[in-house]
Order: sequence, then C-alpha cells, then structure tokens
Amino acid sequence: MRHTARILLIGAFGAMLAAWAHADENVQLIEQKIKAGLIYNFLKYTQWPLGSRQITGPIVVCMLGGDAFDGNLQPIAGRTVNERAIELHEVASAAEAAPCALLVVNSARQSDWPQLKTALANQSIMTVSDFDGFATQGGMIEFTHEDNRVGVTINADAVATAHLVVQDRLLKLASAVRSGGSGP
Amino acid sequence: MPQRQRLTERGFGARYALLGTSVAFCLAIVAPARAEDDVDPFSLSPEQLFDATVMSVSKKDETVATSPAAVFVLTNEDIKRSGATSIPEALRLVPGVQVARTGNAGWAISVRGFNNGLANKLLVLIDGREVYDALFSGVYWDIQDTPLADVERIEVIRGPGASLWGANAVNGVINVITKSAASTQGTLLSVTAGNEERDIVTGRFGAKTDNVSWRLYAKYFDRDAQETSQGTGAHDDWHALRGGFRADWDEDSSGNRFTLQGDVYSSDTAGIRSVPELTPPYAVTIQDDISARGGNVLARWTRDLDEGASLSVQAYVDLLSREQFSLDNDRSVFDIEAQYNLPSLGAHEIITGLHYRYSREELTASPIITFTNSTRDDQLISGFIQDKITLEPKRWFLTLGSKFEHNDYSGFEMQPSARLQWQGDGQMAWGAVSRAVRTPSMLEHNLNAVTGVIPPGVFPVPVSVELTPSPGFDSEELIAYELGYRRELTQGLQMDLAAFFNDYDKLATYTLAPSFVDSPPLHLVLPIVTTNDTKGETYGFELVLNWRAADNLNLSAAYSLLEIDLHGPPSDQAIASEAGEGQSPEQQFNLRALWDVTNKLAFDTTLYYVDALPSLGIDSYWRYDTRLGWHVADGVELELVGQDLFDDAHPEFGGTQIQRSIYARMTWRS
Repeated sequence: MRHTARILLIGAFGAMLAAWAHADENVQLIEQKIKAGLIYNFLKYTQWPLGSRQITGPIVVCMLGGDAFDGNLQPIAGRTVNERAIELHEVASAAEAAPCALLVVNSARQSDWPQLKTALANQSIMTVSDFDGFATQGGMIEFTHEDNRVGVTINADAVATAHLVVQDRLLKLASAVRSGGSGP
Repeated sequence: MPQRQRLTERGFGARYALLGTSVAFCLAIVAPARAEDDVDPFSLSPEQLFDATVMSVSKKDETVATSPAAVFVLTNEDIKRSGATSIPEALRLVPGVQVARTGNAGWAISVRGFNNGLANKLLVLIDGREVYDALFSGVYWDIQDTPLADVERIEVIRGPGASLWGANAVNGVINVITKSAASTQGTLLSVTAGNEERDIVTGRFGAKTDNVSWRLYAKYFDRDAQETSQGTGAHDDWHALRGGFRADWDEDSSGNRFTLQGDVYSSDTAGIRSVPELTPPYAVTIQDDISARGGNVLARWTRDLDEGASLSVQAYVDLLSREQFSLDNDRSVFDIEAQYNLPSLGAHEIITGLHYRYSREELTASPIITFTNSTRDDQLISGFIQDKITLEPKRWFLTLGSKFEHNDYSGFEMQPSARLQWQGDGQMAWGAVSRAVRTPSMLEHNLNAVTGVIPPGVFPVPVSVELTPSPGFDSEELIAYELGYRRELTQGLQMDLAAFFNDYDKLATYTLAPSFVDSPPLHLVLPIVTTNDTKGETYGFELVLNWRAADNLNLSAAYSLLEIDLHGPPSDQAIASEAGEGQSPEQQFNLRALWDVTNKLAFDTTLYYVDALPSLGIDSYWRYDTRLGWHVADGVELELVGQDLFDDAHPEFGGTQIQRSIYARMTWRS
C-alpha cells in the first residue's frame, strides 16, 4: 500500500514537472527558420548609408554559393521591411552582388571568402555566413551555435567600415568581435 | 545478514522509483506537445529569435530518420550528459547493445548477442579506422579512447553492415566520429576527480593556420581498482596517457578536401589471474601486468566530381605492442580503401569501393599459450558495390549491394544484402535480408592455449585441457532478416522500432578430441578443437521513444529484447556449446531525462536495467546515474556525476565487481 502511494506521488510529481516545463513559452523552430527570421531583423534594424545604391528601390537580399537555408529564406521575397519590398536573388560572384543590401555567403564558399571580401570592400553590403571564424576574418554577421540556440557574432569594425549602422537592440543581443588575423 | 536485507530493500526502492518514472513518462506523453513548426519566423522579434531553441534537424536525425537500418546515434551532448568517461561506457545507452564491464580496463561488448570478452561479431571504427584485432577478431576496449569532448557522434548500426563496411560487421557496426578541426578551435581544459576516476586531465588546443584547421590533444587518466567477488582489491588500477592531432584542409576551388590525423598512446593496467600448472598445486594466482603502446596515422582525401559524383581515398597505419602474461603481441596494420560515388544515373545511386588490408602479427609465447608460427602476415582484399534504386520518387527505394572479400583464412566470401524502404509523411518503414560472415582468426587457426589443469583424482595423472590449433575452422555464417518502423507520433515525440530474426550456421564450437598421454611430467592432454558444429537463431526487437517534452526537457526510453536459441553438440562431444544463450541479457532498458533547469543548470538522470546472465551466474541489476551540470561563468562548467548510485558494487560479467563512481569535472573553454 505504501508502495502504491509512493508510485502515485512520484507520478503526480512527474506530471507536475511536465506541466511546469510546458508553461515555458520559448519558441522552437528549425535552425534555418531562426536564421531567416534574424536576417529579416537585420534588414529591419540596419541603416544603409545615404547616397548608396542600397537605399533606393526594393531591398535586395542575395545568396552566394547556393541556398544555405533549404528554401526557408524564400518567403522573405515579396515581404516589406520599413515600407520597402524585399527581393531575393542568387548571385554567382562578387561582381553580381553590387545591388545587394545583404549577402549570405554559403559556408561551402568559405575558401573563397578572402577574395570575396576584397572584391566587396568599399561597398555597403552586409555580409552574413555561418562558417566558423567568418566574423574574425572580416565578415560582418556570423551565425553561431550556442547550445541549442542560434547566436550571432558581429564584427563591429567591418560593419562600421561599410558605413552601416546596426541598432543597439540587435547589438545588445549579439556578441562582438574585431577584425583580426586567422586565429581565434 | 543485515547487509543482505539492505540490499533487498535497495532493490525494491529501485524498482518502485522506476515505476514512478514510467508513470511520469506515460503521463507526460499524454500531455499535448506544442506545434511550433508553422510559426512565421519573420513575425518574431529579435529577442524571440535569439531565445528560440533549435528544433533538431541535425545530421543525427537525418541519418536516423532516413536510414533503412536499425541506427542509433549518440551525439556529443548525449555522451557528455550520460556522465560516461569512456567510449565503451557511453555505449550503455544504445539499444540492442550489450555492454558489460569485465574489469577495470576490460569490457565485453556485442550487438544482438554472442557477448563475451573476445566478442567477435562486431566492427568498431574510429574515424574510419577499423580497430578490431586480427588476433581474435575482437576489440581491445582498453586502448580505444579519445577526448570525449571531441567526439561528434557515435553511430551504432545493429544488424549486418557487411555489404558496405569491413570485416566482422556481422551483428553490428560501431562508428566513432570525431569533430572536424574547424569545430574544435580554441582551448579546452578539463579536469576530473573522483573516487574511481581518480583523475582525468584533458587538454586540447585548436587553431587555424592559412587554410588548415588543426588541433592537438593530450589526455591522461588514472582509475582506481575495482574489487573481487570476495570484496578484496582486484589490483586492476589503470592509467593511460595519449595524445594526438587532426588537421583539416579547407575545401579548395576544385572540391578537394584533405584530412590528416593520428594518435599515440600508452596504457597500463593489471589483473589477478589463475595460471594452470602441471605440478602441485596445479594452479597459482599471479598478478598479470597488462601494458599496451601504440599509435596510428590516417590520411583521407575526398574530391567532389561533376554531376554529384565523388571520390575518396583513405589510408592508415596502425601499430600496437601489447604485453600481458598470456601472450605478447606486436601488430602492424596498413589499410587503404577507395570509394567512388558514381554520378547520378536517373533512378540509380551507385557506390563502389575497394579495400586492401595488410596485417602482421608477431607473437611471443607464454607458459600457457604457444602457436604454430610466431609471425603471421595476412592480406585481405575486398570490394563492394551498392545501388540505391528509387522505385517511386520520395516513396519507395530498394538498395541492393554486396561485398566480395578474399582473406587468407577462409578464402573468398560474398556478403550480399537487399533493403526495401518506404517513406511516408513523418514515418518510414524498412525491411532487409542480408548475409554476413565472421571470418576465422589466429585464435582459432594458430593458437594452442592451456585453459585449465584438472588435478589427479578421477585420473591418476593431471589432465591438461588445451585449446588446440584448428586450421580447418571455417567462417561463421549469418542470414539476417530485419524489419523497422519509425514515426513521429506527435510533434517532438519519435518512435523507432526494429525487429530481427538472425539465422546462424557453422558457429564456433569447442569440440572434444581424443586424449593422449604426454610428458614430462606425465599427464593426459584433453585437446579441444574449434569446429563449426553449432547452429542457432536469435530474435527480438528494440524500441526507442524520444520525446522533446519541452524546450528544456528531453525524455527518452529504450527497450531491447533478445532471445537466443542455440543447437550445439551435447556435453560429451563439445564444451558448453549452448552457453552463449545465457551470456547476453534477455531484456535491457534505460530511461533518461535531460532537464535544463535554467540556462545555466542542467540535471540529467538515467536508469538502466540489465537482465541476468545465467551461464555466468550474474544477477540482473539496476544502475542509476545522475549528473548535475552548472555553467559557472562564460566558458567554465562544473559537473557532478554519480554512477551506479544504488549499489556499492556488483559484477557485470566475470568475477570483478564494478564499484559506484562519483566524480566532479571542471571544464574551461576559450
């Protein structure tokens, strides 16, 4: 009898635990969707320099080296941000990237990054990738893994050099690095 | 007597705690899981996105969800949160795998039965390197180690993997995969201290130079001895030192990737051994010092070709020098393999491969083991071809394959398999028929081992029982029939069921041969030859439930049922030909809860049950492990782990009792 009571007690405790755990209201999404959402927010909370190509017409998001989002970034096309329509393009080279406001570099093109970076210099293009060390190698926004959350590392130097202004709301959430050599 | 009483109570406590957990688990399943997949990510605030947890569509799930085989993956996080401090200990979580610690530095590990310290129907790979030893076709578990923090995942395939994998993948394959050098950048220092894990110190440093990511590691451990069945010290203290490196070159513009890695190690342990002798007292107990030194270097080159084709070539050298009372052996292996994935041919995805392995064993005799030749060079050459045929796009697939092998023991072997796979929405089913063989080893063909001496009594002179060389021993054969079904029952609740029927023929049998008289001293020799006279069937299933109950709570359960039915010669013709029936647990299960109490504090518990092993007189046992992990500060983690908390000590396979272990581990990362 005592044992039965104990089982019920432990069971009830377990149920309470489960219920309590459920009360937590975090969102759970696949990784690419979280990243897609963050890209939208970067468009929303970044100011491109007056007089740049990126300030007029539709705001162009580009993917270089193929779709790194398994299609999850596609729905961004046709949406608006700050009353501007968003277009999504796939580009093959830095030359084609000139109209892009934001360029996602597929991690498969990691080895091309140094050349790409040089070719993109002096343009107001926000660069985004998820390969290890992207931000320390002059990239602006690097997606990282933090346990089972998506993190962002921002290279504030690279952002400033491109005359982009990212609002504090995002900066506070991200971790920052400076442009450096190749090591960590 | 009071001691016994307490043990019984503890047993009951364990049982009811388990029931309670099961009840909680069942209740939890009834609760609705939250569906968040239809959330529009563009409508979320940056704060919500940064706080969102990643729903797993990791490599693990892709592999597991789409493989037409019984696959289970232990991720780096699974291993860490299990509290396991070695590769064999981590395998306790895997359904269908029998893990029994035979001593401080020894494990008997098998998949779907036939477990013993020399278990030989399993293939173990570490980063593509086959770590079985051709001496006995088994694995020396005491030398298979690496910093667990650098292990990306361990994939375990139950059932024959023979058509793709190397020799010995009869009952299963265990594939340990370490992280790339790019994902182990920076410094890691980890220090463990406990009653059994006296100290484990691991250091790793990773960096990138030009286009090469690399890491170096060193690891030292010192483990306290276990105890004998009498409760006295087992004198099997164990310490080992190892170091290694890995370098990965970035993929170049033509799609070439290159990896170079290697390890060196030194391990020292001991044990108490009873050595048979022909003179009174006919057996003496000695301390057996066991030392192993070795190293390996592996290079792998992969190139992406046009139209989805790819080519990879891997080669390694693996050296081992092992000394123990029974036998000293020096083993050298050179192994090279090439795999070519053909360009896509419509409905056909074809993979072919070639494999060559050279091994040399140099043995030094001991008072109990001698051999027909002290050096043996063996060559193994094999090839495989596999075609995955899409019968109906995204629905039906048929995979046909075969491995063709030539080895120096049993000659030509063919190991074909056919797998049919059906893919539905959130579910899949598969079935497979495969043939696999376990090829003979030096143990059967070349070794003469004195297994015991019967003192004079029944016979007027001592009787020496000897396992003698059996060059006529042929491969053991298996035809395996498997069925599997996986389904996402509700959001976050996955089920994986795999059932099998294995039909074995020509299993190794210790057959008695005519005795003869030998001297000096005058004694009778009772020779045993290894023959292929046992048949058998095994059948059963493994069920895994995994439920992401909430962002911060993961519950899982794994149950394994294994029935073994052997048909060997009677005891007047062979020794214990059917003993294998009682050397693997009939039932095993584990229940696990991983709970992130806060984002800095994790509390994990696992409860294991392992059935009795009647042939060895081992009782069933419960094991309760728990871990508390605390992120003290950025890059600093403190963990407290208790293993086998219910029990002071119990035997798992042989006479050695495995003791409760409590340790603390501090890890710094930067």
